[in-house]
Amino acid sequence: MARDRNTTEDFIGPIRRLLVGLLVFLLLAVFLIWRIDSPRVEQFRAAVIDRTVPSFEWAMAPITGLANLLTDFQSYQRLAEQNRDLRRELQQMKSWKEAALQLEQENAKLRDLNNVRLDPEFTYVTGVVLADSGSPFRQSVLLNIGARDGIIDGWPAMDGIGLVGRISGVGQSTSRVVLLTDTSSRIPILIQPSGQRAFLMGDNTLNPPIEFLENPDEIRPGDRVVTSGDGGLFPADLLVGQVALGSDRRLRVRLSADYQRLEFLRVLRSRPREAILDPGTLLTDPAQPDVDAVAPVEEVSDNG
Amino acid sequence: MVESPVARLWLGRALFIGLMLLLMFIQLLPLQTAPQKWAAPDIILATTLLWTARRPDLVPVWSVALIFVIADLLFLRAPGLMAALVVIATEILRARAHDLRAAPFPVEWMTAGFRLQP
Repeated sequence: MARDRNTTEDFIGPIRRLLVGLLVFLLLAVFLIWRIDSPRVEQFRAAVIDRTVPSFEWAMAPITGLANLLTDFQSYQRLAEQNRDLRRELQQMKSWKEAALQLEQENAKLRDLNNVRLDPEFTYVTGVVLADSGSPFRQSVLLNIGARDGIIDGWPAMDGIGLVGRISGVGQSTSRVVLLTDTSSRIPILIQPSGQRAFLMGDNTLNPPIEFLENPDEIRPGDRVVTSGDGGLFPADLLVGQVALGSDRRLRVRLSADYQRLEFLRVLRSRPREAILDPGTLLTDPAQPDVDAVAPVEEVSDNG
Repeated sequence: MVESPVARLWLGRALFIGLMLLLMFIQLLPLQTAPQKWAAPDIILATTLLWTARRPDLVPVWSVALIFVIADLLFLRAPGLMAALVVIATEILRARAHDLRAAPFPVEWMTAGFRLQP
């Protein structure tokens, strides 16, 4: 067997080896280019995904739907106990709803008294989740909206309730959302009753830990977590979740968004906040003519 | 069905590429967007190694390079790096494919397994 192989590939062998070597060299060169000029290669990657993935959409929708149907079917088996749980939960929620309504009225009254102006209403673009990252070590999803729809890098993406992630990478008709659970996701947050600022560090688990917290003693599980808007990266006051104490005694966040099934995401158009650049000018009486303001300075220079 | 051996060969090669694209497509389906407790095996890589060990003639180098460059781009990996490593791994495996025919299964398994940690 071995001799047979040697005789047939005697003269093909070296050329083939050379070509394979060349191929490996070429691939490593691509990797090197990526290391040197990452943004351009990432743009290329976004363009490739933009071209290929939406063409699978016709197949993705029915298969995803079928798989979801199967998981739904499994959950029907536990229908009775689920029903009981839900009814109990509904009772609790009714009392909460009452409390919420009262608080809302009180809040509206107080706001009226204070003459507070909140952020102008956010507008949003809603997109459908096309694909996920396909890797267990990265948490991101691909949306079917992109630069064509005016999406810009860095905008926050939410599901109906809570923050899901932020846009990172925009193609012509697709854009990628890096989820809060991704290991490279860092979001400035505010923990509500105590007003402490911290960071939410994604670590590839469903409940990301809170880091850079000044005083952990003031935090208790159940506290509301919202974005703080620090650094101008995100708009403030987007709901993220609730504080929970992990089994490793670290403070984590139970995310409000339903990560089990991300289907539609809304991307908020967040405008950058206005920056105050000049230090401000001297306040003078606008009725006073300018000559008077200039004249004393000239006198001083004449004396000197 | 297909008479000439050349046609059979190219059919096998096309089948391999088609299977790889299908696996990639399945991995991209947004079935589970919450982080998992454990990382599933890299089925694309495992299948490639298996086919190289069993039928090296159906897995030419260029198809391996093509498939893994596409996978690198789609799965947000460093482009080219994984592809180069897999080409090297399959070349080593290909050189031993004839010897592996006679070897018992555990030996074959270990040989493929060691290629996974270049």
